[in-house]
Amino acid sequence: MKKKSISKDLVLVGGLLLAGLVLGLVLLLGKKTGKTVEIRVTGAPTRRISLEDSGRYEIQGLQGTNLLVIENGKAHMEEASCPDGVCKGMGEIDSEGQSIICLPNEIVVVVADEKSETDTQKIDVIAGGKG
Amino acid sequence: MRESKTGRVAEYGLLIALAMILSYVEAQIPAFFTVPGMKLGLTNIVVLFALYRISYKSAFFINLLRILLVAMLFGNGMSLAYSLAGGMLSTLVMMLLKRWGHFRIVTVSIAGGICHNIGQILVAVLLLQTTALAWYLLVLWFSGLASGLVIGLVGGELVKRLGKIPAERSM
Repeated sequence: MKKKSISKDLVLVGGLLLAGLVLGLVLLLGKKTGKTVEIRVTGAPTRRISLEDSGRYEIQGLQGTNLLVIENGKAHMEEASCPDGVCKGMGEIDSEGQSIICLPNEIVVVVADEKSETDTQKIDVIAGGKG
Repeated sequence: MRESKTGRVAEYGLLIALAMILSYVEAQIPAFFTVPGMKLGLTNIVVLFALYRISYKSAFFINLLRILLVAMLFGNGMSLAYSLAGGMLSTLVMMLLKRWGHFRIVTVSIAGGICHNIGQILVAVLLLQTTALAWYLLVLWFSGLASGLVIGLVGGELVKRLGKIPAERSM
C-alpha cells in the first residue's frame, strides 16, 4: 500500500519535471535570433538599436545611467548605477523575447520580435495621442 | 477532535500572523530578486500545515487572508493581483491533489510551487499583453519545482513533529 502511494507521487513529480523539460525543448527548438533590441524606460519604448550595430550605449534611467554594450550580435548590460547590479548578471541576450531588466532604473532591454514590434507601434500611437 | 470556536479563532489568527511574518521575512531576502517572481515560498509551510493538520477550508482562508493583509500593509494593487493569482491557484491545486490522490506532502508542495508561478505568469501575460514570457515560465517552472521540494520537505517534517499538539489539546 505504501509502495503504491510512493510510485504515484513519483509519477506526478516525474510528469511535472518532464513537462518542464518539454517546455524547455520547445523553446530551444523554436528559438529565433532577433535583429534588434528595444529599450524601454518606465514602460515607454525609447529607442531601438540593431544588434549589428556594435557599440556602447548609455541609457538614462529613472535614477541613473546604465551602459548597454552590443558586440557580436549580442547585448549585455556593462554598467549600472544601482548598487545591486542585478541586470549586469543577466548575461548576454540575442534571442527573440529575451530581456534584461533593471528594476531600480526601470530600464527594460528586450530583443524584439514581430509581435512586439506591432505592440510598440500601438504604444507609440497611444503615447503620441496623450502628448 | 473536540475544539472550541474560540480555540479555532486563536489558531487561525496565529497561523495567519505566522504566514504574514514569513511573507515579510521572505521579502527581505534580496538573493531571490535575481529573477523577479522567483522565491522560496516560506508561507507555504503554514498553508501545508493547515491543509494537513486542520482542514481544506482553513488552508484556503488562511492563505487568502494572508495575501490580502500583506498586500494592504506592504504591497499595492499590482502585487495583490500577482500574489492572489499565484497563491489561490497553488492552494486550489494542492487541495485537489490532497483530496483526490492522497499524495505525499512533498508532491503536493512541488505541484503547488509550480502552480503558484504559473498563476503569476498568467497575470503577467494579461497585464503586459506579451507572449515573450515563455522563457520566464521555463525558469519559474523549475524554480517552483525546487522551492516546492524544499518547502515540502520542511512542511512535511513540521506536520509530523507538530502532529502531537492537537492530540494533546483534545485530551
